Amino acid sequence: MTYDKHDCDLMCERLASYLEGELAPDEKAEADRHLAECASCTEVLAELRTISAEAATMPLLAPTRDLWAGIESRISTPVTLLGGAPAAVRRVPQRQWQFALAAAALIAATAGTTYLIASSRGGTAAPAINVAARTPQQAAESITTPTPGAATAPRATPAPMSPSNVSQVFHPKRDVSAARVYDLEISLLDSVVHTRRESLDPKTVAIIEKNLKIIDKAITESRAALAKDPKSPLLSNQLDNVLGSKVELLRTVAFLPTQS
Amino acid sequence: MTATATEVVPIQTIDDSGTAVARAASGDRHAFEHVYRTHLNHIFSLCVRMTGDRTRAEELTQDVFVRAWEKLPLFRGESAFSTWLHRLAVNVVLNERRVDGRERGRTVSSDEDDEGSAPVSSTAQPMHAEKLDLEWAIAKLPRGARRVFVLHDVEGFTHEEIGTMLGVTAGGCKAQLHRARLLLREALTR
Repeated sequence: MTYDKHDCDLMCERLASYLEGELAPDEKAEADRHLAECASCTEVLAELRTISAEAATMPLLAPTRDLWAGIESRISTPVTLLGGAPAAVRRVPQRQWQFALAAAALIAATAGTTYLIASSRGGTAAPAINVAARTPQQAAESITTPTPGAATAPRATPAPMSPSNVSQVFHPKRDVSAARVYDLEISLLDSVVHTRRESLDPKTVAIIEKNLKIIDKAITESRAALAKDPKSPLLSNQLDNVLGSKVELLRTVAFLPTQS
Repeated sequence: MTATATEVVPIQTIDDSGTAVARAASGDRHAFEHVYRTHLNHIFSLCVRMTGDRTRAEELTQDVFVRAWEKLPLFRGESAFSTWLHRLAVNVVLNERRVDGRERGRTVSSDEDDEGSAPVSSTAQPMHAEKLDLEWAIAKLPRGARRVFVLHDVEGFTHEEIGTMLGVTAGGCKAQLHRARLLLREALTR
């Protein structure tokens, strides 16, 4: 039997499913018949297999320069706390319950002081900026590095962190997930942002709301995916990422200068 | 003995990758350098092939390791560290594309992704012939097809995983992969 171009084009389309082993038995039998009699399609199939096999064994590439110096300088940069005392690079404890405890302390430190600072701070009109488009690093810099205005603004000094004053705010259990800790912080920051909404530039508020909608949609989708596959570390990590993005955005908003 | 962040330990003595990761997670920068040197070429290769640009890939590789340092305490050991790091790298590269698109004042749609071909850096280094051809042809693929091809055929992610990462269906991912392979075949047999 001879095959015309149309037959071969159809066969070529089917090769994807053929290679994936996804053809129904009758379709596969038909494809096998075609391949047995058509040298051209057999050649295409062999070449596609070769490309796939070669891709899986491609050699590693090396950068033309040593990248470590740039990385080291970035991870060594000390974070300046709002209270003014220099500190070492922030590190989160390794075990999950310790992480939850640290996150609870962060909530106590950041949400409380965020509110106090935001409510007592004046400033000029905020420019309309796309906050969500900023990198986490930029957002972190805007939070951890005091601006000239912020340096002179009255501000509450957070009490030193200790297990006793952490427990006044939050009682972490050993099985508390990072997602729940994020939820709590988001809830607290949400209330701070809500009280600030009227004092911000309407253009800024519009952009913030647009970005929050995008992030909320991503959170909803990530949660839905995680509910279907609760053991997936990829989905769990993705949910953490989008929740982290929301926290960063809300924190940034909490520190935006008030419209004059 | 547990090393602290301030102790200087010769890199050669941190011979167990798992130990280095654990120590890096607790803030040991010296151990993290060992982790970096162990995984550097894997991550750089991924970045080069995903972007088709070696210079940008060097910047992204640095971003990946800085991000890894920040997120390392959250590594729960549910997968191999190399798998975790690769997924982190993919997220960084994909997120960079999204940020890039916003900075250009537009959203990069999948259609726009496929317009034209990726820039090929003039600094591409020669390798042996067949692999060089394939490397070159991958860099010339449209962005959407290139990302799927690299993630599936080079990195070994499943269609479902790629679909989740790229926000497309597994079926769409399969179609892109087939398209990429056909384009590569065309480029390599030309």
